[in-house]
This record gives sequence, structure tokens and C-alpha cells, in this order.
Amino acid sequence: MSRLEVFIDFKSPYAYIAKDPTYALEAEYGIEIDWYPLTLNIGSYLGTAKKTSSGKVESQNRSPNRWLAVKYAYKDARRYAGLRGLTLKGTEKIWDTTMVAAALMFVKQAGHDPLKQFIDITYDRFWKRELDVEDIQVVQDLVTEVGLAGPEFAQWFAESGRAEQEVMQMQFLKEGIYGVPTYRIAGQTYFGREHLPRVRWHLEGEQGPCPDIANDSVVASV
Amino acid sequence: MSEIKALDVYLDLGNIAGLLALPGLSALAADLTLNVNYWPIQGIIPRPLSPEPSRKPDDPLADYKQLRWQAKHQHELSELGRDCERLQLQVDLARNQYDASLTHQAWLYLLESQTEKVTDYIAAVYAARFQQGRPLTELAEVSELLSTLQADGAAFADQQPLWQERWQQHEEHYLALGIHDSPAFVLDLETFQGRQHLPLLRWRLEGESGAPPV
Repeated sequence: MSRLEVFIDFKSPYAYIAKDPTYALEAEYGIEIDWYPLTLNIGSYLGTAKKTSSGKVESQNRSPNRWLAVKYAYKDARRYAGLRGLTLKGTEKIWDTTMVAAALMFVKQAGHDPLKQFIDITYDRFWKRELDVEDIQVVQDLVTEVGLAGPEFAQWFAESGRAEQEVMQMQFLKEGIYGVPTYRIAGQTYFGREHLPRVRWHLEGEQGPCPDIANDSVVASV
Repeated sequence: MSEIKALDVYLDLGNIAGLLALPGLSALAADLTLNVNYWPIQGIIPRPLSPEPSRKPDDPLADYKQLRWQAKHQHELSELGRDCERLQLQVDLARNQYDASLTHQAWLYLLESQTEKVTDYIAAVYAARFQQGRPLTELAEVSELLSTLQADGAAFADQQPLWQERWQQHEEHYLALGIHDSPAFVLDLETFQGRQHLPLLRWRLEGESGAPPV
């Protein structure tokens, strides 16, 4: 069976709504997914914007076309989240997810179940606007909540974790990983959950022609 | 008697993204009782390949942007290869991006004069560009193509300034609705951009029974 690597960023609504359809592959095919954090620099390709808590744009450098694309993307992600009963509130700014990405790697060492719990609670709270992922105490508490030593994480992050993250991000880019969610399997790299039919095709032994892209996963509502 | 649903489909004839949606759309239309209305759109997102970013000397993110573009470009090329294999197209023809304004104007002309020829026209333009490598960026070429479909190509050529104006109005209309990429689908005033949404459209059109595809 092919190894499946999945790259996510907690600040991506598309990665959030892909999480459960992706996790469903583990039960369906008896595999364990190898998760990695990719920290997107959204401002570098979509421009930046900051909103007030009431949703009014405070400052921005986006072109009208980029606004159209960003607004549609959030609307689209909310549509699919809504179909599953997930809460997906618009963010007030572009968050720096470096710290929580490093925490993912830290928790990953403890194995599948703590990592799944970490990914689940981080996504859920972040998109309810209940999580400040730039606050070391908040991220440390998340690590503690899933059964690991939060203070050890904070110390590691300050001493070398951040630097390791930055090196890892450049390495991912060089390997062709530039967006989330990305799936890497059988030597192929697929960006976007619409590629899940192709991931399944690999997991099923690549029988017949490679399927077209589609958002076709059926998962239980929350 | 159940109501016949209308699905508005927006396609950009300047790249293959819309063409890739046609097999799935045909299957949907064949399985369901559906009125499909086709409209032209000039997508704002370059497809199938993104242009290389311009490198500004004082940009601290220049290296990141370049590296990200290289990764994206590689993915787009792989995707193009898979799509070409599926539709049996040649990559060197399918990768092209054309200014489709004139062919979109002729499409609007057909919508007013000979609506029944629109689907054949769409297929003919896609085939000319992405199977035969004909750009169709000259008025005479577009007029000739219309004539091969037994449409009045000469009349379109005579009235082209009028259709250019109509095209600009149409562009303003769909952009105001937030539609900006090809293929786009509008069902009950809700917009779906990209062929990956076809399973959800089918679910909606079939009465939303069972769990939705997500």
C-alpha cells in the first residue's frame, strides 16, 4: 500500500474542510496518514487585509480581482462546511501559523491519536475564533491538552523549533509543495481535496484510468 | 409534474479549463431533466499555467515567490498532462491561452440569433484552438467558423462593434455577480466555480437526498 503524506495549514479554510474526508481514508483503507504542516505566506500571493472584529476592512493591499477570488474562496469553503455542520468564521487577519505548525510536528512524535486530537481541536477552535495561534501560552496549552509536556514544547520552539520549521518550509517548497491541502502519494503530488478520487485510485492499486477531480467524499456530519 | 431546473454554465473559450468540464456536464445533463444555458466568461485566473512573477529587487519575499511559483508551475504541468491524457489532447496545444474576446462576442451573437447552434459553436472553438492550434483571434477566422456552422458569419462581422459593446456589458454583469473563473455554474442564484463541484450540483439537482458530497 502506498504511503500517503498530507500537508495542511491551520489558517486555510480549504485544508479545514478537507481534514475529515482525508482522515476517512485511514478507516477506509487501513492506513496511517503522515501529516505535515505547510505554513502559507498568503500575503505574498493574495495580498494582505486586516478586518475589525465587526468585519469591516481596516487595511488592505489587494487588487479587486484578488478580492473577488478571496471572497469566493471563503464563501465556497463555508458552503461545504455548512453542509457538514462545521463552524467556519471569517478570519480577522492573516495569521502566522508557524508556532502551531511546529506544535504539530512536536505532537506527531507521540503517535497517531494525540496528533489527531491536536489537529481536530486546533482546527475546530481556530475557525470558531476561539484560538490565538500566535500566543505561545495558548499553543502550549493545546500541547498539554493532548497529553504532552506543553512547557517542553515552548522551550523547544524558542530554542530550535522555529528555526527547524523555517528550514522545513523551504524544503517543502523545493519538493513542489506550495498549497494546502496537498497529498503526496506514489510519486505524485496533488493540490486540493478535489484530488481525493485520485488518492483513492492510488490506494486501490491504480485500476483503470486515473479519475477526474471531484469533491465527492461523503463523510458523517458533526 | 416536477419543475425543470435551469443551470447557467459560464465557459472561457480562451483556455481548456471549461473544455475539461464538458464530459462531466454532459453526463449530468443526460441523467437529469435540465435546461443548460451557456454563457461566455473571461476568467481572471490564468489557466492552465500561471505566469512567472515579476522579480522586484527590493522585494524581501522575491525568493519565496519564485520558489512558490516553480512548485505551482510544476504541479500545473503535471495536472495538464493528466488532463490531456484523459481528453486525448496534445499538451503543446492544450497549454495555450488565447484572447477569446472575439469568439465570446460571436457567442453572444449566436445567443441572440441562433441559440440552437451555441453548443456546436463551443465545441468547434475548443477543437479549433486546442486540437488544431488555430488561435481564432482574427475577425475573418471567427466569421468563417460561424459560417461552417451554417450561422451568418458575415452578419456577425458587419455588426462586430455592436457585439464588442454587448460583450463589455456582459463582462460587467457577471463580474458584478462575483463570477470570475471558468468553468462556473449558477444554480438557483448560487455560484460554483470549477468542475470539482459537479457532484454537489448533481446532489442539489436530485433533491438533496442522502449525505451531500463534500
